[in-house]
Amino acid sequence: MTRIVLRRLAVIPLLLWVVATVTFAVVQAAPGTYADTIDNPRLTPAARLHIKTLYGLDQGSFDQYLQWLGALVQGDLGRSFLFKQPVTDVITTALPATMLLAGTALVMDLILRILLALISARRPGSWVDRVLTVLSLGVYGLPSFWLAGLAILFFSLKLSWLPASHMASVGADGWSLGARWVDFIRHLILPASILGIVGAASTARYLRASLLDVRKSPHILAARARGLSEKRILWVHTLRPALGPLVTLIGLSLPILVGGSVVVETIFSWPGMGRVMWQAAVARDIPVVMGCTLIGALAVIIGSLVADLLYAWADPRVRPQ
Amino acid sequence: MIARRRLPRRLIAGSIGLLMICCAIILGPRFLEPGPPSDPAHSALLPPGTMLTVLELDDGRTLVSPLVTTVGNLVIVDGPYSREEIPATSVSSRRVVQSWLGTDRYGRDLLRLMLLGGRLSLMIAALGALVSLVVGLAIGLSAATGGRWIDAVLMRGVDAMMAFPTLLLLILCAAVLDPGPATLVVLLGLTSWMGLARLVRGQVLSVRERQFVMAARVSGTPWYRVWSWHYLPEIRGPVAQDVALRLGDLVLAEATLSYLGLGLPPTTPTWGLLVSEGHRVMMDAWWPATLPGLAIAFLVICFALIGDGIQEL
Repeated sequence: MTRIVLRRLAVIPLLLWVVATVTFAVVQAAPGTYADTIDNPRLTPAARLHIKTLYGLDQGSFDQYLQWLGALVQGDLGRSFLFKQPVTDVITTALPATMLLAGTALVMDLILRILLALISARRPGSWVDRVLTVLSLGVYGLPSFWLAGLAILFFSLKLSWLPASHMASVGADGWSLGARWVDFIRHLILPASILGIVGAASTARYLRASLLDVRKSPHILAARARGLSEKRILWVHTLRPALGPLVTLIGLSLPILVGGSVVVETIFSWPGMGRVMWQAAVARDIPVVMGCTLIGALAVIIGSLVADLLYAWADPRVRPQ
Repeated sequence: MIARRRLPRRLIAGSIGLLMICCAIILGPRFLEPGPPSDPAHSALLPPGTMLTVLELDDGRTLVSPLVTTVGNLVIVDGPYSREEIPATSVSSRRVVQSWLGTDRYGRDLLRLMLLGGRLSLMIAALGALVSLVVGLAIGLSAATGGRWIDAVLMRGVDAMMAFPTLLLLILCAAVLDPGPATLVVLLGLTSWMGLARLVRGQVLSVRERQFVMAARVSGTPWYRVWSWHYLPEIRGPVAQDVALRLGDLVLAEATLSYLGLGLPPTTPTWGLLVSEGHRVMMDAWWPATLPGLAIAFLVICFALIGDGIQEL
């Protein structure tokens, strides 16, 4: 077991290098450099050229790649062209925002998913089950940007209950700590609900199916024969075995916690990793694109390793000999 | 005698839904009134069910408006932004059509746009799924049968592919390559095959350990027969289910890309583009964003039902 983990840890640098190299090649192949994307009509061609040389964008792609790789080996991710600060600073400000949003969404997703599945699996085929199945399928089928647009239209523009964008209101810096927290949570509700509800709706049916599978197993019959209440059978004896595969979720959701959701963050102007990555890609901000890619790739690799380990821990049958 | 099992209800429901969509987008445009050219001045953003008068004029222009009145020998065409008075003698033909689902902000008939866009959305998803099926099968089978080294290299390759930020890759590739349906198909296909490759590899490896396969191999059954009799039936179900669910995901992915402005040029009305166009006028009109959104949902649900149904089979 330890050897397998070590072997997989050993390939991580290689995988990261491959991912980084291919991404670098694609960014370089994309037409235009950062200097061309600056949207300022008063910028003269000479000034554009000056910016190009300033950021070293006039050099060959391979030279730029070697310079970037050399800096990376020394632990330097470079400076962002677009945000005018070190890439590490850009990431350390965006990462907490994304983790808060994605973390809240994940908790909502889990609670909703378990509730939906439990209610549906109590009486399979009943009208409650059917309504919930149809509803969650419907939400799963709708594009998240569509739902986000609708939510903004209703809750922000028509009813003006909740703010539609950013993490804090304008001028919130001067407020008291409590008021700032309330303000932050009000901003969090819409994007986190969209992410959480879509996540729960697209996966609840799998949990429902595994709950129904567990219900057929002999230990439920044994529990019933022992005279345990239906409630206890459902919550303890059915739910726990069905939740087994869910532990892998902890590993598999790591990329989302780190990388964020480009669509939802862009629509709600949430200053997280997804939005930063989108802005950087559009502006050809190579250092930020590369930095985000590396962090995201690392999250995927570590996440899938953690998922496999947790799965083996939870289910002895898949443990390698 | 094997008793015939009933087909799962989900599979039937999903297939019927999909069939309905296919019929609508293939046959629909034929039964519609030949689409009047858009007339943004007079017929932008009309609600579903509006009756439109189409006037063809002598000078070749076509006016489309819900409000046409005749006063004496003058035809008065009203619109939200303009009003025209035309002598009745210069009107060469006049007919009334119904706009079932209303019009978008350019005065185009939404039903017609959605039927045409549905073809593109469905075709892109289907071809993308085909690319991902071919690549996934090839990689998965080679990894499972090619020996230890090929397996290790290919599976680490799959890991690397999964570690790529897919959306970022799509954004940048869309900038490198010419935007168009073919590009989108290739991009969507090449970024979605990894799950299938893992699935196929796992299935083949687990079937290989089963005793009936061992028995077949030991007794000298030719390899192609072992494959067609033993491997294929075991792999078929999970792969079909995976492809059905992937189709739904690709429809959503295409819609998301189009929404972000990366998919296709704005003149090709896929459902994702229609939703994104509709979003701009959402405060004034609900239908241009809502109806294509519901169409996407219906298609995705059909694929999900088929996928779940195959699993129950």
